[in-house]
Amino acid sequence: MNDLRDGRLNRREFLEGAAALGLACPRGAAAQPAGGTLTYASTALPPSIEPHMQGLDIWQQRKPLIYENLIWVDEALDAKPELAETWEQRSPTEYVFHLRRGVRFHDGKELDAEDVKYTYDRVRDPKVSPGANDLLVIKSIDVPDAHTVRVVLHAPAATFLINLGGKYNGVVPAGSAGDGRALLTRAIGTGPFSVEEFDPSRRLVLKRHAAYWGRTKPALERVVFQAIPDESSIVAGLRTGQVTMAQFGSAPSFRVAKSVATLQTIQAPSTRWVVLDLAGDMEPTSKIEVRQAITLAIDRAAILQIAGAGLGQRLGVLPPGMKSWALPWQELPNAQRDVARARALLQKAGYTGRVSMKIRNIVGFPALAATLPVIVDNLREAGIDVQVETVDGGVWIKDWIVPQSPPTMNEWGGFVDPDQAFHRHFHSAPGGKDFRRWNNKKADELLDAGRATLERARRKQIYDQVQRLMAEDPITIPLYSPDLLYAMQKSVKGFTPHPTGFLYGLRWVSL
Amino acid sequence: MRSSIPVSAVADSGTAAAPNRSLARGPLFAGACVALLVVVAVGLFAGLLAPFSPTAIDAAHVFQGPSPRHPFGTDRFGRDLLSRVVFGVRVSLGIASASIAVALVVGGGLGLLAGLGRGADQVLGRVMDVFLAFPPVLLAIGIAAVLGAGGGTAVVAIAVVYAPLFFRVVRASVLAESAQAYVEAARALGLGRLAILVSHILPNVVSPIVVQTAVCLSYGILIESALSYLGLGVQPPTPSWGTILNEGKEFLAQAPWVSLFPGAAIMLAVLAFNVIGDGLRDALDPRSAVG
Amino acid sequence: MALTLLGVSLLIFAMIRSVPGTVVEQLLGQAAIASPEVLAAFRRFFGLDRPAHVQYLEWVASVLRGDFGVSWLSGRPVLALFLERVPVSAELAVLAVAWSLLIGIPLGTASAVWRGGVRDGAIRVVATLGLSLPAFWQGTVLILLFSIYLGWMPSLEWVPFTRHPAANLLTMALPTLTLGTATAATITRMARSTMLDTLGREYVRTARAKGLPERRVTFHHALRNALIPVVTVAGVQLGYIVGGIVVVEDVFTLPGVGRLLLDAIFQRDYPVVQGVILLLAAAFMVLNLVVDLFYAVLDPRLRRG
Repeated sequence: MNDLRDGRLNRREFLEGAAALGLACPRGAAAQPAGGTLTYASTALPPSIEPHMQGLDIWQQRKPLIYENLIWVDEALDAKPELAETWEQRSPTEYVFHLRRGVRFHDGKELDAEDVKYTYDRVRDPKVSPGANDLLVIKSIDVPDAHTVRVVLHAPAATFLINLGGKYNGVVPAGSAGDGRALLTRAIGTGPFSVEEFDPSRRLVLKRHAAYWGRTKPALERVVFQAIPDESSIVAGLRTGQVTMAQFGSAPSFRVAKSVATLQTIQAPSTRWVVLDLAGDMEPTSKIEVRQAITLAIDRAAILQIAGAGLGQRLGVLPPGMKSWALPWQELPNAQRDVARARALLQKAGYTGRVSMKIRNIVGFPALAATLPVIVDNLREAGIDVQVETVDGGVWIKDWIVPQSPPTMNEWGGFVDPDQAFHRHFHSAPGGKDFRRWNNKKADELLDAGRATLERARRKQIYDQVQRLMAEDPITIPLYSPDLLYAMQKSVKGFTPHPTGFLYGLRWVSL
Repeated sequence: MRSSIPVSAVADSGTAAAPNRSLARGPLFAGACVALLVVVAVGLFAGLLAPFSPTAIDAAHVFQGPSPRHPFGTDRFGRDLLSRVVFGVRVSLGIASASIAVALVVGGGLGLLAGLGRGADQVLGRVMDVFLAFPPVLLAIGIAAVLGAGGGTAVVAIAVVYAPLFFRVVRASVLAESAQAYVEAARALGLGRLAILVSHILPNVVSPIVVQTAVCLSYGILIESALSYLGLGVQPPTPSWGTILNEGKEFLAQAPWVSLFPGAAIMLAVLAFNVIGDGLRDALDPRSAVG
Repeated sequence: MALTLLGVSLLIFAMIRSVPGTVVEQLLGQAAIASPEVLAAFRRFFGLDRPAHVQYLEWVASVLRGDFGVSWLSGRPVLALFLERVPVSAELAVLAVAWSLLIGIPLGTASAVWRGGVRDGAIRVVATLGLSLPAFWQGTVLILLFSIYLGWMPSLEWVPFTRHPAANLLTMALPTLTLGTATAATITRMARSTMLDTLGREYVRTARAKGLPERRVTFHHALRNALIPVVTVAGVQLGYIVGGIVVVEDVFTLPGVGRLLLDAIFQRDYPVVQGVILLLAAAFMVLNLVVDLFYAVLDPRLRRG
């Protein structure tokens, strides 16, 4: 909320927005004038609207308008009540949730505890949902009465509540998934908007859920998510007024939008970041000196300037959107470019001539394509010749999951807690997946401790150590974190960005 | 990007009845040949001609408009676009030539085979028909998608698209020549198949092949640029004209020069090949003279 | 034709399956790395775990029954999706061909009549230039010119001609221009050469000798005969224009068959990719057949042969 550094919202609008969103109590009392259609343009649409299976950002961002959870994670990344009005922690491993009364699904059915149990049981089934990983800690879910849900855990888990609000959830009516295919094209949630029309290559049309439970009803009559395949056309649409609002993936288009007098723009820190992930078991990045040399050779200021067009931020290990956890990059080692030291480290690793390495790039990520030429040129200066290999997402997944990826350009994000960001990715098997084959025992210990520790201050200390460790022995090189870039007509009132990019802020927008 | 046209349909330009050939053989043709020679020379001596390295980053000079220092301007990485377009000649022309050469050898070879033997003709004709049933661009994109992005991929994709055309030309020419009186005479004289092929048929097949090659080279450049434009051709930071266009499309509004110069380069190269193809057809292909 | 279609079906079936990745990875995105179980479950869900020949035979059998299957993502029948998108692409193709005929025939005829002159030279250069423009680049430059510099933007949603003719034509203007450029160039060149050819023929010379005015000779006698091959080329181009349609629909974001196909390829929606390509190939062949018949009607010599 405090990071609207570059927004053109004036203070009054800003406060109105904050009030409408109701920071302390998410369903503020202010009634708003109803009506209007908001056309939100993007270069792509989600391929399906299945709530529990899809991890694509393009879907996750839109999902909060349609689906809700027991709790939600607010802009400060803390757990706040949503469908659960209150909850109590009876023991370190037992939680009881009291559901809100009078919540209705889009099909008119009233929400009860069975729906909640059905949903979370479905999501924690690893055969159904990728979200199962986040809910593995759940031992059982039962239903003492129609409005109470009791969850028992295997072990105390610091991130349990946050994971309940995680991106793969979304409460649906009991049995609504049918044979498993039913929710791919039909959405039944409790969110402020229901799906009126969905054509994955054209548009996703949402209509106001008239029976929405909140005291504040959604103001917009419709939200139309319109696919316009390139961003310069989106800018043109904003200019003519055919598009009400858009998020930009590329800074250049955003700059153009910023110069249009009829538009307001918002720039806010995100939880996404662009990285070069290395491979701990492949020449030459199996040597720590080489990994450090690569880190030192890369000009991260130039990457932010060129690939991020300056509309982003440098980062240490965690992105600036997770600001209560992230250590500033200035406090971490190997953060400044130093080609001479990089050369010396390569020599120390036993490389006298030029070093050769492969870097994999994934099709369809503009930020990666914009970063890679800088890295190739930087590394050439330090004595490393790079062969770029571009692969399709399918190939990337196949190798990543084994794991057997060569050094790869990646874009990560959507995590709200360091446990989510680190444990699976960097803890060695079987506890985690250690996708980059780091095999760091010290990291394993710290990550286990961080997961089992409930007290926030102590967790912070642990994850500070993790971040320092990752900067000293870089197995992943965070390059920059692109800011969230929104442009909208001046008539749009009350939009608040969420660091994850999820469009919670659209719920209460008015025109 | 352009759809290709069946060979039979391209047989236009001047005819016997039209005394005018001056344009095709005259200044335009000469100009096109000179332009092509210049382009090839630029490709060969790119290292000497380019003022900068085509991949050197210069964060302090991004998106500079055309100036004496950077006649074509710079891109988002501060790279000199003149140097990139100059080095792009090698990639774009290289891939187009390599792929058409492969198409010529494979398609032409099979065409010879089909023209000579009936059994082979049946099978090969069917297979080629299947390939010809696909619009060329789509087929190339499909093949490139299967093989994964890269320069080699582009060569294979373009070759597969145009091999059937060479197949058709060569097969038709062989069949036509085989039916000629002199070939029958040679056969009557007891000359072997191979001897007839080498001494009588091949020389007559050469001219349509030369014409077809020139025309296909222009398509080759267009498809290479299309594949690179879609990110399926050579991989960055290596410059090809299509890759530069791809990198420029995002910045059309604030840096149109990034897209305009490589686009113009493609257009000129393709134009040169088209004009040369026309001229060659008029000069070499006796059939087009009959209409 | 049936045999060729069978070949096409086999080729496209094999090709789309050789493209790395499946609908599963597209659906899951980065989440696919979450667990191998989810991947396996999804593969079973879409029947991707069954042997390829079984999948192929089932598909061919259902196509023979007239059932092209349903999209894996939107759940809608492939045939319905195709038919819904056809009007956009068909209009684009017809407009482009009409435009190129309207431009190409007069230009080509004029060029032939002015043969050897400066005007002939200019037309020929322009026509060759038209053949040399990459469509995606031309489209991009047109968009740049119109939307960014002139602030003009067609409506986001495509409107059928029947509902709003003006809006429809406005939206279609630039795409039509882009798609038709190469065809117009080809037709100009073709019209010129056939015109030159017929102008030199005996019956034209006879007409001229009879003292008919040159204008009448050109338009009445020569042009009519010269039109035959031109129309053929236009027909053949109509088929080849399909490739251009995909590009142009992508550049101008028109909701036609080309976009449907590109999206489906991108999302590995096999039923849609296979069905649409098969339908397109069939349409392509039927068009060629129609052109052949048309040609036979126009040219009596062929009817006997």
